[in-house]
Amino acid sequence: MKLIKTVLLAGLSILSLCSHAQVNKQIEIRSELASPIVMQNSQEKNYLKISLTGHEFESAKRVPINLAIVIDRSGSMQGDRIVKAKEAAIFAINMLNENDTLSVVAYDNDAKVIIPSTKVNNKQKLISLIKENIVADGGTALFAGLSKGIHQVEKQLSKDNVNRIILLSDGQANIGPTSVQELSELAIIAAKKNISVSTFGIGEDYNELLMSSIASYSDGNHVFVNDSLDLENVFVREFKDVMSTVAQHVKINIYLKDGVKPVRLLGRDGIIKDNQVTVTMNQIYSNQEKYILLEVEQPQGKVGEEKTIAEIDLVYDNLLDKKTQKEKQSVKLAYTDNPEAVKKALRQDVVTEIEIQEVNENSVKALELYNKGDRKAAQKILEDNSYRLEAVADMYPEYANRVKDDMQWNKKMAADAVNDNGNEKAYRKEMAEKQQNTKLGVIKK
Amino acid sequence: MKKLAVILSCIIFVMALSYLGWRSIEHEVLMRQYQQRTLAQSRLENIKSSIESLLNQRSVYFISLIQLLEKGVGTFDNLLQSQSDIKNAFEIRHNNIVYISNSNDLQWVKFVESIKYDNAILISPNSSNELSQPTSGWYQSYDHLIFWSKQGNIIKGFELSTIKFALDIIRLFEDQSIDDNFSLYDGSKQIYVHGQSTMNNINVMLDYPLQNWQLTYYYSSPNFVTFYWLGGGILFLFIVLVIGIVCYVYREYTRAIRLAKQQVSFVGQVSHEFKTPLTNITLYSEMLKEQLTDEPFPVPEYLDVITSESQRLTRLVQNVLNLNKPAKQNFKAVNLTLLIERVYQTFNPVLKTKSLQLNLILNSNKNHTIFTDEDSVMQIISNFLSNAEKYAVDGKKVDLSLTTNDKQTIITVRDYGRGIPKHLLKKIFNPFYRINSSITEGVSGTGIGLTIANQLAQQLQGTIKVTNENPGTAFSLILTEHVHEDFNR
Repeated sequence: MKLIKTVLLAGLSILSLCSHAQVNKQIEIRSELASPIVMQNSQEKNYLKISLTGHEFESAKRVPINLAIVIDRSGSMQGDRIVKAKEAAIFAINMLNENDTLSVVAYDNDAKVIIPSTKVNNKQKLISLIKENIVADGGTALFAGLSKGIHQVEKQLSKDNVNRIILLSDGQANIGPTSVQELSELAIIAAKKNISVSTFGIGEDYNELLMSSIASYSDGNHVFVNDSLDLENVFVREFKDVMSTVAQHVKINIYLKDGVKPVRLLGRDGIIKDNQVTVTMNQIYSNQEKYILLEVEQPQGKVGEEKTIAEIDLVYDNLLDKKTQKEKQSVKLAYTDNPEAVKKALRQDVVTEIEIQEVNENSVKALELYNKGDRKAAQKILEDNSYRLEAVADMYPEYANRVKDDMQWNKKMAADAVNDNGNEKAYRKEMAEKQQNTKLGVIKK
Repeated sequence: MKKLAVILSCIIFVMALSYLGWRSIEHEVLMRQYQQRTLAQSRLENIKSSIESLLNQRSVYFISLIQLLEKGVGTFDNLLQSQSDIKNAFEIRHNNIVYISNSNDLQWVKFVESIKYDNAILISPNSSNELSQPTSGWYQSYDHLIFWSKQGNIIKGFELSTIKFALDIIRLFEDQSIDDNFSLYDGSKQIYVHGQSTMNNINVMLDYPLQNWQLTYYYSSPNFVTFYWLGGGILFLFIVLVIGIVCYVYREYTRAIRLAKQQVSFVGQVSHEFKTPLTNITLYSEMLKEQLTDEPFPVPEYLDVITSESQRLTRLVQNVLNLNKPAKQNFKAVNLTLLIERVYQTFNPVLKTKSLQLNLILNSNKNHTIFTDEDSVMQIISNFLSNAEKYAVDGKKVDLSLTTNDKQTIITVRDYGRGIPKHLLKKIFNPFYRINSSITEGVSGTGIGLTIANQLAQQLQGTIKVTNENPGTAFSLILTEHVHEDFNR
C-alpha cells in the first residue's frame, strides 16, 4: 500500500510539476501554483502565477515603433532641463529608422503638435523642428499634451507596431484636468487603444503619484530622473525595451473552478468578478518575464485527488510572426497528507515573487507614514522588509540574487527615512518609482 | 464784405466736410467692429454645434450598444472593458437595480439609487414638450453624465467618460486645424484651449446636458488706431485740397480784377506824366498864337491846329485821370434850365462847324432846380454832345432836351446818325471800348468817355439810358428829385 502511494505521489508530483509550460520559440508562457500539492485539509492560501517570457531574437528584425514624445515646456523647464529634453528627443530620432513613426507634442499653457505623426525619413528636418519649437515658458497642460500624443499615435496605430508614448514632465499639471483620477482615466483609455505611456519625471518637483499612476494604468515604465544629465541614458533604456518587444496586447482570462475563490491580485492589477479574473499586459520584451500573482482560496480535497482549479485563456499579438495567438492552459491542484511532498513541490521562484510583492505593498504603507511625518514607523517597516528578504535569500539560495537588490534598497531607504539631511522630495520620488516598477512584476533575464 | 462772406462760407464748408468725413470714418470703424463681432458670433455657434454634435454621436452610439445588449450580443461587462466611452453602467428593472458597475463607488451607487426611486428625474430636465414621452436621453447630475434608455419598466444607462469626451474634443479640433482662438471650460476646469486668448471675447454656455460648460471665443479687433490715423489723414488731405482749389480759384478771380485795376492805374500814371509837358505845349502854343496874330497864312492856321490839338490831348489826359480818381462832388442847388442853356450856347458853334444843327428843347418850368453837382452834370452832357459830334455827323442835327416830371429830371441828347447795334448798347460803357465800325475808324477817341459819364451818373445817384431811336440814338441822363432842406428853404 505504501509503495503504491509513494509511486502515485511521485507520479502526481511530476505531473503537477509539469503544470503547463508551453515553450514557444519566442514567448514562453507558464502558469503555476506556489504550492501545487497541498495538505488535504489545508486552509492556507495559495497563489497562482502566470508569466510570459520573451526570448532573444535578432535585433536586425526588430518591430517598427510608433512613438510619440510628449515634452513639458513649462517655465520650470527653463535652462538645463529643456536643453537635455531636446537632446534626448534628438537622440530618439537618431535611434529610429524609416520604418518607424515619430511624433512630438510640446505642452505649456496649451499643447501643440510640433511634429505630426510621420515616418522617420528626413531626420534633419525633424531635428530642426525640435530645436526651433521647444522653448520653455508657461504653465503645464499635461492632459492636453498627453491627449494630443494619444491622437498622434492613433493615426498610425497598428497591431504590427509597438505603440508608445514617452511623457516628460518636471512639475505639477495645472491646466486642464489635473487630478490623479482623471489622468489615470486617460491612461486607461490609452491602454485600451493598446498604447503604453512611459513617464519620466525630471527633478524633484513633479507629482510622483500622478506620473506613476499614468504609467501604471497604461502599463508603461516610470522613471525618476533626478539629474537631467541622466535623461539620455533613460531614453536609451526605454528604447532598448521598446525595440525588443516581442508580443503586445496580452489579455489573460482566468476562470476559477468550483470551490476556488479569488482573493486578490498581488502587484499587477486586474478585474476580479465572481470567478473570473482578467488582466491585461501591454508589451512583452525579449529577455524579460512579466507575471501576475493571484491569491486564491482553495477548495478542500481528498488525498490523491487532483482538481483542475483554473482554466486560463490567453490572447496576444505575436509581433514577430505578426499574428494573434491564442492559448489555453489549465492549472491543477493535488492533495496529499505528506508534508514532505508539499515542501518538495513548493515553487520557490513563485514564493520569492510573492515575498517581493508583499514587501512592496509594505513599502507603500511606509511611504504613507513617511508623508504623514511618522518617519520612525516608516523606517521600521522598511527595515523589516530587508530582514524578510534576507530570510528569503537564506531559505531559497537559488533565488538569493533575485532579492539581493531589493534587500539592499529597503535597507538604504530605511536609513534615509530618518536622515535629517535627507531630501524629502527626492525620497518620495525614489519610493514611488521603485514601488511602481516592482508592481509591474518584471524579471529581467 | 464779399471777402468776409467767402471766407465764412469756406470755413463753414470745411467744417461740414470734416464733420461728415469724421462721421463716416467712425461709421466704418463701427461697421467693422460689428462685422468682427458677428463673425465671431457665428464661429462660436459653429464650434458649439460641433461639440454638441459630437455628444449626439455618442448618444446614437450608445443607443446602438443598448440594442446590442437587448439582442443578447455582449454584456455590460464586455462593453465596460472594451468601450472607453463608458465609465459606468447600470440597469434597473421594475425599480430594482439588477446591474451596477463599480459598486464600490458609493457616490455612484447613491446616484443610481436616486434614479431607481424616481424615474421622472431623468425626463424633467430635457422635456420641452410635455406630450411626447422620450424613451432615451441624457441626464446630468453632479459629476455624472449618463445616457439612459427606457423600455417599459427597464432602464439601462451608461455613464459617459468625460475624460474620453474631452479627448475626442481635442482630437476633433486638432484635426480641423482651425484658425480660431477659443477656450472650453467646465466651471473652472479647463477642458480645451485653442490658440491665444485676447481681450475681445464672447461667451456662450452649451446646451443641456453640458450646461455647465462655457465656450469662449477670442477675436482681435483690427488696429483701429491706424485706421483712424489713415482716415483722418485722407480727410485732412482732402480738405487741404479743397481749400487749395478754392484759394486758387479766388486768386484767379482777383487776379483778373487786379489786372484790370493795374491797367487802369498804369494808364493813369502814364497820363499823369503826360500832364506837365502837355500844359507847357498848350501854354506856349497859345502864347505863340498871341505873338503871331499878324502873320500871314498859313502860320496862324498852323498854330491853331497845334493849339487845338494840344488842348484836345490835355482834355483826353484829364478824362483818363478822372477815370481813376472819382471827382470831388459839390452838391448844391443847381438851376438845370440855365445849365442846359449854357451848354447849348457853348456847343452850338462847335457843332455848326461840323454842319450839325443843335436844337434846344425845354419841357419844364423856367427855373427847374434840383440838388446836384453842377460840374458832373455838365461833364456828362458834354460827353454826350461830344460823342454826337464825333459819330453822328450824318444826322445833320442833334436834339438837346430837358424834361421833368414829378419824380425825375431827364436830360436827353438825341442824334440822327447811324445808331448803335442793339447788342452793343451795354458794351459801350466798358472802359476803352469803342465800336469797331466805319464810323469810328477815322475818328480819334479813347473809349472812356461814357465810362466816366456812367461813374459820374452813379455818384449823382442817377442813371444813363441809351435807346435806339429811328433814326439815331438817344442818350439820357435821369436824375431823381432830391427833397432837401436847403432847397425847400
